[in-house]
Amino acid sequence: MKAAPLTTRHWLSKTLAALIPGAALALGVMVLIGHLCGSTGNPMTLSAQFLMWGAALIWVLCLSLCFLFRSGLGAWFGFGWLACLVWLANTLLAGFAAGGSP
Amino acid sequence: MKLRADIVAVYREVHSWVGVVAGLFLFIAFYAGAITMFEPALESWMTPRPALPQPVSLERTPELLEKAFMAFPQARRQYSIVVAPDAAHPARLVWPLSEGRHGHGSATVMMAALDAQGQLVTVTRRPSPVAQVIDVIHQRMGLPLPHETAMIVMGFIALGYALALVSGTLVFLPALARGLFAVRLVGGARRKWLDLHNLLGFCSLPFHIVMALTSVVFAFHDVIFSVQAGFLAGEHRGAEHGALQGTVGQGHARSSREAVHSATADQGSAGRAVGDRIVIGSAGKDPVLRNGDSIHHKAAEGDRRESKSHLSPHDEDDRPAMDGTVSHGKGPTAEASRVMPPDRILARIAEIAPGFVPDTLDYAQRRSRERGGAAPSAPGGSLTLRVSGHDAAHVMRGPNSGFATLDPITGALLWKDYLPGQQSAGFAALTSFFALHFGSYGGAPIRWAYLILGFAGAFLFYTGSRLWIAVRRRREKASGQRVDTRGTLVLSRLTTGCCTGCMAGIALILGAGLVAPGLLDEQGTYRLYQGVFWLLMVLSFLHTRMEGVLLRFTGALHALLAIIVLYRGGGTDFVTWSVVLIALGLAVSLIYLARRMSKPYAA
Repeated sequence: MKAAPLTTRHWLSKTLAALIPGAALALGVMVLIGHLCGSTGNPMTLSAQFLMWGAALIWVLCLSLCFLFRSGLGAWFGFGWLACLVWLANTLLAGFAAGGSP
Repeated sequence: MKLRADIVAVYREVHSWVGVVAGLFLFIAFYAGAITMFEPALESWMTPRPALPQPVSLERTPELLEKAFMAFPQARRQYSIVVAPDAAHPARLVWPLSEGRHGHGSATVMMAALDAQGQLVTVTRRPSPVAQVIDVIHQRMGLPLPHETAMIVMGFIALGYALALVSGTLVFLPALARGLFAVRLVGGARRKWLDLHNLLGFCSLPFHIVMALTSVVFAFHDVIFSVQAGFLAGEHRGAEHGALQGTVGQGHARSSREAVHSATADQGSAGRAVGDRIVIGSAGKDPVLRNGDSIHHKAAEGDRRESKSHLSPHDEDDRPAMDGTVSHGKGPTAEASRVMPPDRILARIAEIAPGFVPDTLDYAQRRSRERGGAAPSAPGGSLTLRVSGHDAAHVMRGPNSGFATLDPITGALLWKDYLPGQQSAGFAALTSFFALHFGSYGGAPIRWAYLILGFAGAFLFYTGSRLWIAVRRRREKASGQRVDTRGTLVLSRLTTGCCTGCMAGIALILGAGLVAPGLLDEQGTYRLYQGVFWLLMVLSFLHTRMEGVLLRFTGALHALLAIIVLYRGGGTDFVTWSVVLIALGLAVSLIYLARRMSKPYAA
């Protein structure tokens, strides 16, 4: 079955999907990596600055790729699911860290 | 490289719409940004030179400091020692008279010198606001909004800019193999604009990628850092205090951008000029030493010991702070009289970083507990020393400088993450992004290259808009339209209004700053720019013929600017000739465009 060609219909909802759940995803990935590499989030540390740049880059990538979704709804679901997953992982990690420390 | 045709079509459409909308703002950002490459030079060129005695030698600087502090105790709060005074920075010692806003250039400063009799002479210097305003126009993309709001709007435009780059590259990739350098000047208007646009865009792509990403970061870093603070700081609290030692610089350099911006502010505070010459009598002849305070020679003895061994039972307050600054209690008077003399500080820096050329030694009283609200010289404040300087061989964090934080009393290096050539690989990588935005590497040749790239970038957006108009006109003509549709007209007029408005506004504030220095303050200058910009914007919508008229008017304004500059004199000055040549070049280009414009459908 051949898929219908991609169009620019739903451009607004695709863009908003990249900007809103896309931002949640970018920040979530940043926090996840931050958890994993033990960053403190202090803006003057190297890790925090790298993570900040990374988040900006991921957000730009979301915005660049959102037009590849078939529909606006698809884009919202795509970015939304990923963001939920990442933030779930963050919550779990934070919980483990809190539980693990005396 | 083969991409699916429908994907290319989608991205072509995205590219043209995003490009056209963002392009209008980006033209302003690039045009003003290109000029800010020479912001310090432009500022000191436009500010009248003060009459001050010859600067004292570095060895006599402690004497100057003592006398200045006796007459102006508030100067202790924040002051800078200029390492190599020159025509643009004629005083050895300067201190700001107003609270400078980070990132908005130089404040009004007091400059101090000693005359032949050893008496203190001070001069107030109010820097010309024009260069700063051009920087503000660049940062806010000319938006008539308060700074914070403008920065967020700018961030979204920068995101659009990044999207335009990605989509433009994807669209252009299939055509890449087919002759990148073929600029078909003989074909139709559309083809010529397309080839020119592609060539310019492709050649400056890495430059544009850096600009887009850094601009996004400039707009949103505060939000991103606060997310990090909210979700990462909690569980590691206390774990990395040791690691943090020495990583945090001066109190005000909280985030990367602020560090960058305080650079601008400090760069500015390092001297420059006007009026109000005051001669202070012999007030500073017999400095009163408070009990237990020594003068510089004693401090010099102490500095041979390490920072830690400097602590004695009497110096109970002397303990390293969390942020790498060392608190040397007893209040500001004690500190000021115990600081290491500047020549020894410079010798220290030369040992630490041989290629680094220090420009200013910036001292500040840090308010230990409260930020902002405390009395200016509250006891318990501690003195910090940041050295700003340049190094053409390395990337620099600020637009004009890199930094090191030293202990002002022992001269020990406390923080080198932003010190050119001494950074860790990771910080050097991050610094390179800032340096690539600011053009703060490689010295003057890179700045000139950035000036050209900036103007070329502005022209890229202009060609993009013209291309869009040409395509629409062709389509409309094919479908039997005799005149432009409303959409085409609006874009065409917006493009002309925005570009000429920005250029005319900047030319006019430069002219006004030269003809009547001191007449307009920063706000007045920004308002003048906005007035001219919106006037031309409105005028461009009045009549079809207006576009050509506005281009000619702006061209004439640049020619007039060149005449004003020449009339003002200073023919031996390199800046004078640079401004004249650039203004004339722009005048000729604008009039050429106006002539092309007058041909119907030639775009």
